[in-house]
Amino acid sequence: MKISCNWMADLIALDEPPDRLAADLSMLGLPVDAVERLPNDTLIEIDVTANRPDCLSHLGIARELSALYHEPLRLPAPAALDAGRDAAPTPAIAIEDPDLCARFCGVRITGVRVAPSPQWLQDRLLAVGQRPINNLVDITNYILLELGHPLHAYDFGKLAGGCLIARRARPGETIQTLDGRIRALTPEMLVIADAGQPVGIAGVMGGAASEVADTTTDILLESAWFQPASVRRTARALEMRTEASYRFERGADVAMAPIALQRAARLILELAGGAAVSPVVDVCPRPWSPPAIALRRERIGRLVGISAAGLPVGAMLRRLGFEVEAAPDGWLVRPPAHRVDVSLEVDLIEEIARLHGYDRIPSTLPLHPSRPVSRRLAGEKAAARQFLKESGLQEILTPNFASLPRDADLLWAPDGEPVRVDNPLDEGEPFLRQGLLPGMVAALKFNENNYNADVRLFEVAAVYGRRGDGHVEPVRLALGAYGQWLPAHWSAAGVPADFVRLKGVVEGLCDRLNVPAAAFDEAGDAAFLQPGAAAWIRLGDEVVGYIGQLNELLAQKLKFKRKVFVAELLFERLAAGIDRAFAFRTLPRYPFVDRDMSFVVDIGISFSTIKMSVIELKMPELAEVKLVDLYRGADIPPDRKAMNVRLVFQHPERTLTDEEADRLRERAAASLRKRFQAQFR
Amino acid sequence: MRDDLARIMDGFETECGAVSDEAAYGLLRERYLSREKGLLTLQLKRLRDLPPAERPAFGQEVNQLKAAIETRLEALAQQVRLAAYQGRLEKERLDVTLPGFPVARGTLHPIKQVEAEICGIFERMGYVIAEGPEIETDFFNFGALNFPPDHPARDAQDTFFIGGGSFLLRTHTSPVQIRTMQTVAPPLKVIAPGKVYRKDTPDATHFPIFHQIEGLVVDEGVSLADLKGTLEHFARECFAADARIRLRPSFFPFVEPGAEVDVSCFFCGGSGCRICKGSGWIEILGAGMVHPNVFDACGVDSERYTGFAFGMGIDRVAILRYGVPDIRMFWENDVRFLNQFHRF
Repeated sequence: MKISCNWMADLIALDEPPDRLAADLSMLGLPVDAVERLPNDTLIEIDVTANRPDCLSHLGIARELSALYHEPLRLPAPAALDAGRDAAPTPAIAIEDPDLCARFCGVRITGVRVAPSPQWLQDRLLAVGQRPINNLVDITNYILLELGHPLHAYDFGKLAGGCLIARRARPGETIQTLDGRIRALTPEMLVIADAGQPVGIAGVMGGAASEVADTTTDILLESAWFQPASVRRTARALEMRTEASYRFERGADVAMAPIALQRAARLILELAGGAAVSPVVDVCPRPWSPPAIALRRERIGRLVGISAAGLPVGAMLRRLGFEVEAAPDGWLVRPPAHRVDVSLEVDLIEEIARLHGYDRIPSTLPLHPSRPVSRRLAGEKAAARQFLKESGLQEILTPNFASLPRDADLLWAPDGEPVRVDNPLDEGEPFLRQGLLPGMVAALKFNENNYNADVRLFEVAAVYGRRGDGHVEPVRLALGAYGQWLPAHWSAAGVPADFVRLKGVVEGLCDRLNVPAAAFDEAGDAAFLQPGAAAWIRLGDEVVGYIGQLNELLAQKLKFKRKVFVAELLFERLAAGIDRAFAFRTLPRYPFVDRDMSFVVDIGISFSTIKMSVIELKMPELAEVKLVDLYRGADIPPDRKAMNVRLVFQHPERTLTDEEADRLRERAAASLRKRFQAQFR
Repeated sequence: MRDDLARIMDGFETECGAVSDEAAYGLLRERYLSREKGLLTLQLKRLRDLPPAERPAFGQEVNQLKAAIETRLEALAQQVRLAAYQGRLEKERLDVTLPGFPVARGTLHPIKQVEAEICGIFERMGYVIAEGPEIETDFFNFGALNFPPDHPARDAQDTFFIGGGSFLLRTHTSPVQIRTMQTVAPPLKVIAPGKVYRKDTPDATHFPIFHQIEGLVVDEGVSLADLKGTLEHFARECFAADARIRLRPSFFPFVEPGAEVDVSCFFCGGSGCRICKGSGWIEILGAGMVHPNVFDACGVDSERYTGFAFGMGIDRVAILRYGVPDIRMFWENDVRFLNQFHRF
């Protein structure tokens, strides 16, 4: 809302310079976006909040300043128009739906000459950014900007039956609005109709058929009050937003309707050569009466934290136009009709507080306690993120919107049905993501495109699904890397970001979260992963995640130049495996003994198979089975591999002798020979 | 024979002077003290050839000589070891300016860092963290927060709808206020961070997904002055030790009185600069006293209890603080960008 300081000077005498006005308005709750200096005027641009439609006019701002500066208003309201001897005939106006139109005022003016407005009027409009059109349109715009009340002028000669009726649209009715478009109307919409058809959409826009033209001489001027929610629904349904709808949907001043009408009519008589004017018709089936709000002195102090004892509460509210009478513990207050935002005691307290000045309220630090509020897995999420960060990965944040076809290749184990956004920003991404891999892959690709050679990323975030009548938002954890995990150094060769490296991170994470049961097995059936370089992460029988190289054919399709390694975990499922019954175990008192086994086996026999078969021998002294070395080379048949496995033995009550350790090793070796035809070297 | 002993001593002294490393030392020791062929051992063996009366005196002399040589050898050993050590030092001297072996550097996302920092400030004031779903209903996002149906206040929060309008993506973290008050009775001091959604076309200052943090305090006797003191403390911890705050009346349907909260510009200290557009103030928070209609929707007695609530955009704080020119950079995840935020 642009306010011209010259214009405002008509309404209130002010000595304060514009910058001071701007600062004071801001502190009063009317934030000033800009102060613009013109050669002969200054404009103050105010961002009026949705609850203060009464401030969408010069009068509204003047009223606020009047209350702040104790300066009386100079109201422009004229004496009532008197229809003289040569009065125009009284127009017929009716309200069919008083719920949606509480007041409808009209006046007919004949002998009008449509012409350009006088310069002063054009200048005022131009100053606040309004293009002058002709005297009739300009006058209604002028009144809108001065008093805040929208008006509409009809060409009386084009109104069938010479009447206006506020009624709901009938099924199938249409109207061509002033902007030339044909609009389909529904019975939820209030229209202004003549005897035959709608001539305007109430509170939104007039119709083209009854539009004032250059040849118009006989007009009917409308000034009404329409129900805010109805105007808003209608305007939204028709995707229209006008100066009128903007004000009516916030709440117009029902008391202003006849005042604005009379002021406009007087200006038309003065400036547009009106010859005769009818009596003002004022149909008001629901006369407005202000609510009586009890305001307790004690409550002001309690809510604001100031002492209300010395505050001139009654006088402050009266300055804002409220009616105030004393009550036993405070006041009984009736707001003026333009204050549609005030209906409760707290609303009055805000008026007191803002007029008193928020900057005069003291600062106190409350010592209030809180009951506990439970939170799911907060500590575990924080621990996982911290661990991954300290392990050298970088946390990312990826957008939640997804495309089903684009992301189909990268989707794993969705929880529930996809959630579709009714009104997406991008029609290509109407869904909420069901997995983190698409975002991870996009982040890796973005980095590759930006010539970042070595990248290690993670994300811990929710994914979304529809289940029955509700939704689920399970948390997942994704990892992704390519290039070098550690670049080559003058003292050591580089460490590539590969399967083993990323698996170490997942194992470390399980260790950090204390999920001892996490296990890995080859994932032959994950299409988006590279066969032979992919594993499921399991807790018992349940798959809680995967880790692997992104399938190379898929990576080529995505235009990756490098090998990419990824993992995704169902965080809540993983966390279900946390061993929370952790307890101290006695430290071993006797030294351990280790024995290595070097042997050659079939290439298909996994380390985990070897390890389990040793564990299954249930040797009480066995403490650990470690892989020391793995070798495939020219001196070994291509379908075989050499392994060096270290067995660590420990006896709880004594030191094991060399002979005992040798015997234990031999038991394990015999088993491997028998079960896997291991050839020992 | 005594002359022999004297000669041995002279020779030993001379040979000591020629020892420069551990190998030569070992040979020297062997030459004099070896059990079989050591020069002193040989002298002792000569005892047999002496008349018995002379034997004790000569034996004593040989033993004295042996002790002297051993003492001298001990000293020589130390000398040789020290020389060897010093020699090694020179050989093993490092160029200490060579780069150390790197530790893989991880980072937390800058927005999550700021979120954690803000949560920490309030947790130290005794707040507890609460969470809520991102897919919400109209009731929790609007209705219970005193947004009437068909009210223009909803325009400020252009909403993504789901399921034909029966659900929506929360437009603010304020629904967590409602969910918390519905399940936990006052007194309450809660902070709720999370993702929120508004249908804004992405540009340098807008992204349809961003992060907010919500605060709520409900108890008997909570006042607007308490809100002011709380946010003042927050501003000093978060922005600058001498930060000031300014409350301006404003409108949010779920608070009354309501306020916009400005923090004195932490770039210019309030004198006016490019960041604060010359005003000396930066708008950071929305806040106010919990509206009685909100208490009613949650079954909290609004006569007995009062409360305040506040909310701020985490992304905005991060942008201001770090001078990030484009909000979209937070979502691109360029490691060169993320790497800059490794300090925390």
